[in-house]
Amino acid sequence: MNYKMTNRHGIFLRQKFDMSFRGDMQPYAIIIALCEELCVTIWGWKHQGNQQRFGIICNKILQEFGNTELSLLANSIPTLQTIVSTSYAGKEKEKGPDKAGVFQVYLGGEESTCDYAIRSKHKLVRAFLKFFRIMSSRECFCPLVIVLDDLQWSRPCIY
Amino acid sequence: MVETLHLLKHILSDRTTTANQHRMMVGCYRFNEVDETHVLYKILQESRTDSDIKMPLYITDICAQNLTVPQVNDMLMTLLGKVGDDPSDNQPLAELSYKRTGGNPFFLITFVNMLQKNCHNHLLWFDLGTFQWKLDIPRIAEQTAATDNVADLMEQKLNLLSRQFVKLLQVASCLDTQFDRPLIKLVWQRTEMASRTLSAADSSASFDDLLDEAVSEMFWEQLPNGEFQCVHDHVKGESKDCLSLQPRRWISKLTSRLLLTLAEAAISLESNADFAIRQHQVGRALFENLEPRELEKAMFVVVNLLNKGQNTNQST
Repeated sequence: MNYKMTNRHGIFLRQKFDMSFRGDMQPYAIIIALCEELCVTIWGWKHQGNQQRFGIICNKILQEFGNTELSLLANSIPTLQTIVSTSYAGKEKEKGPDKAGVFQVYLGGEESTCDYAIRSKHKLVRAFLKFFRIMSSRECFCPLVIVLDDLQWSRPCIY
Repeated sequence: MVETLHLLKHILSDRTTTANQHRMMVGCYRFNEVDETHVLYKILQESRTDSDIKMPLYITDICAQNLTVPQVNDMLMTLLGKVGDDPSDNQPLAELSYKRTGGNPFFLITFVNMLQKNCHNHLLWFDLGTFQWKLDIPRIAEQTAATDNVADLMEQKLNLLSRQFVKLLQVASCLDTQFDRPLIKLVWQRTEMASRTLSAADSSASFDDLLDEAVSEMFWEQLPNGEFQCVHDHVKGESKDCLSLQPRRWISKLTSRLLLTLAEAAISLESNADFAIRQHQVGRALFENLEPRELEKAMFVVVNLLNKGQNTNQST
């Protein structure tokens, strides 16, 4: 199955819900793991002579995301950070360092903490949505198949 | 994790681009553990009713039931290389296996494996003279007990294993469900050296054997990317339970095989505290030895482990 998918420019991801670890602390642990896996695959292309595809996807990611969203995502997905910072390094040589401050965490203005928390949650959700939209587009992975095991262990988060 | 489910639902029903034509999600869950109050049930119901009529979210349910006696028979005949023979010849074994396992396919595989592993008892063996599998039905019926689930069967299996081996399972159970060879080796050596004075070379040699054993005994499976994964979730839970016995056994310097009685583990009150200390140890070993980049990946697991032991230190 995995082989068939990769042959057709698709990808086959597998994650499982866990009884003990991860879930309690991190509401989006599974999503982050999925994103990380996607990014590792993309990063792999760079070193496997598939630079063209790597470049196309990098450009797409940089085009679609705003700085805030990108820094949000990159903060939770280590490999995305690597990908984005290398492609910025490439860009900076051409354009000059105008986007250098991208990895600073953006804080809201004078809002109350509660509003701010809800707003940043929505921001993160939107960023994830966008990320998967890019990932399942024709240029990236098509089809994108996700297998999730042990869904019965999904339960509310304990903060 | 509920947030994860909600987000996944959004991702699947995202209609803003044409890209969504190429997404598929396969979710597996235990039907008997998800009732109407479960979050998953609600989300599934929502996705069924909410979806747009123009672009519905296609949901297909596939319900995997237990096997019936004829199916068990089919499976056993294939396993034992008796395809094409008269099914009624194999019927007694099929019926017995069905009685013992309730027709759960995973359970059935473990059961048959166990029969074969106990070859010195002559339950099921490959006869080199006739090149066929031989079995002794009355003896099997006599020597195997009906167990409620795979966990009980695994319990019986754990009882037959060496002390070192059980300890390896325990250490692994502190890690995530997946881990790679260097990682488990690192943690294993650290905890070994902490508890006894073992030279690195010694533990390295025995470690490789143990790891092979774990794979061949089907506790772990090796993934294509070289990582290991627990085959059964209850192996994690179970080896955790056994842990409470360990320090006491070591003090009493038992060198022979460690016979684990799960009942003892259950009544032992300090089991959780002990396990937390072990978790803390493993967390510390990881924290001190991982490369920053690796650490970043496993950050939440490591912090979680460190925190567990912290709490016990404070409470005691």
